[in-house]
Amino acid sequence: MSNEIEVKKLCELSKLEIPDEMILETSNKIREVMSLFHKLDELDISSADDTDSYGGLRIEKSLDSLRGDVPRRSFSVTDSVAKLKLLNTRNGFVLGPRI
Amino acid sequence: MTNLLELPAHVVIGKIKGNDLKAVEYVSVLIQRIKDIDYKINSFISTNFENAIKQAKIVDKKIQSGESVGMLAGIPIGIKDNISVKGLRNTCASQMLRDYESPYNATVVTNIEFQDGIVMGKTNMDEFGMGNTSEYSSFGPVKNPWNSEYVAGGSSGGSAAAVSSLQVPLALGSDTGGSIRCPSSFCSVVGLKPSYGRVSRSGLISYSNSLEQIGPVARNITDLALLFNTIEGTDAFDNTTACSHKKSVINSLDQITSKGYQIGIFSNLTENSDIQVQSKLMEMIKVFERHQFVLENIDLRLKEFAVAAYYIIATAEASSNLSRFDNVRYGYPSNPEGFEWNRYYEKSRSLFGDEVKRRILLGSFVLSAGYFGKYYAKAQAFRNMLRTEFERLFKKYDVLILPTMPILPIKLGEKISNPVQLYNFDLFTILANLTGLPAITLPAGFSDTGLPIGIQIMANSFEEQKLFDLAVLFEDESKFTERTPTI
Repeated sequence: MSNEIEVKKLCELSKLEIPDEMILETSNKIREVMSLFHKLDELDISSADDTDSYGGLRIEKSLDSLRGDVPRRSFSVTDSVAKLKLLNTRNGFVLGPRI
Repeated sequence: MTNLLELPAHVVIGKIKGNDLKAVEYVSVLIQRIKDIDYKINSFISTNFENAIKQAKIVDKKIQSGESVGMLAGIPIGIKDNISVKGLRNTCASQMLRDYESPYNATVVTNIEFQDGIVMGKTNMDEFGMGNTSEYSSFGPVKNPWNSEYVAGGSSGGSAAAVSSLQVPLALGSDTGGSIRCPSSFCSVVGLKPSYGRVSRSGLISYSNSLEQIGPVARNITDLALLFNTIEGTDAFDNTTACSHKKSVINSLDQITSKGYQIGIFSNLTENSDIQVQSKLMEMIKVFERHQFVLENIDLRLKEFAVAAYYIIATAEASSNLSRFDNVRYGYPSNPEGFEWNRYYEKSRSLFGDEVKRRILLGSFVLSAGYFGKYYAKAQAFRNMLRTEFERLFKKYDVLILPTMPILPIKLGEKISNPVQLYNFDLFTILANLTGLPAITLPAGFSDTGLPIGIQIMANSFEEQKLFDLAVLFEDESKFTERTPTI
């Protein structure tokens, strides 16, 4: 992933707008980072532990014995709406673009 | 006034509890300090002065009436601007969230307020925590208090700079790849990245969930332990928090020395550092040798793959996490009427900065169907291999020592156009994030030109106490934490 056409495609997938005049620079910088990522091609992972990753966390309780849920009173819809700082709204409805 | 500013937080707390000092007086002095100097440093994005005074009065009233007060009684604390504080703006230093006000407190903030700590304001940072210089803030870069031509480090640059420049005695940062330790090293303060699962992430605006932790920044190890003990522990709002552990304590020098710690020194990492950084590491080693600890040079296998694996995982998680910023659920006033959904979404997300956009694009790419195995899956496999390597090392050693950063602080603007070079500077700090291990950075002295240098100590998961022990010992001999910058 390095040329400008591919970067434009990726912008579309990522829902990002990058001005045409910035595409070349973005493409060049992404190419530099991808060359860093390619270092992993040299890594032999045949000896890698196949277990799931928990971010180094020592699991001191098995996953099927997580805490039991304790029901709590939830906010009412009125309370929840009252806590929102209304943004892009009209007559109590949230405005949205056409889908 | 100067003496009050320089007093350690634990001493101030003693004075406030003993009625020798009013909390409101202390908070007022710090507010004046921020007003006087922060325009030179740019460490705060927003302040909470009015409420801070109110809270200080409540603490004073409690003491006057004989009520018990918490262990942070009357201490103002800076909170990184990606940690939610109810009623305050939570911008993540991004224009995307410039008007977003947090409707609830992060668990760490609730804990601080429960202990009568006072939120002084929200500190500057790299946008969404993506950077190691704090130059990628849409509110302007943070400047290093020791020399304002240099970066403060990042991404928690505002927190480290505010503590270093005596604007607050304590601050919270978040550490995804060194974001607490890098700025703490560059600003000559103490910073801790806790074990993954030790501190609740509830209320932290996520960038890379499997790597990041909230942690404390302070000017000395006793103050750091005080804030760490306040924020650590299990939390029903964060299922990755682990079972309770003993609170950290400040042991006596005799107690620490008698523990006879085995220490490994990452010699194959250190040799690639700036010569002045290496020299400070040697000085720390000599301190530990004098206490009869066993020190051995060791090599870290696989180090050459760490930066690539880290940035693949971090960008992948970032692209997922930041997809929520569509300007409907979070964002800024912008009328969506007349737009087709995708165009509106793209338009509103154009307020992300260049580095954030770059990481979203990279993350979307490494997660895409044809490349998932080549990049993301392989990076996760590497992560397990690295963890196995550290498990091997911790069978023999209690702690591991290495520089915090391989370089001295750089000048503002010096490297901002070269992301790969900036990424490579993270090699020493990302190891703790990839493995979930705790790591602390300690002020270890200054370069020939007066720029701070930090040294890092790593321990096994949930063994932060060992880090505190060695930090106490080093701090007692080095006295570097007593120095403050002239601003």
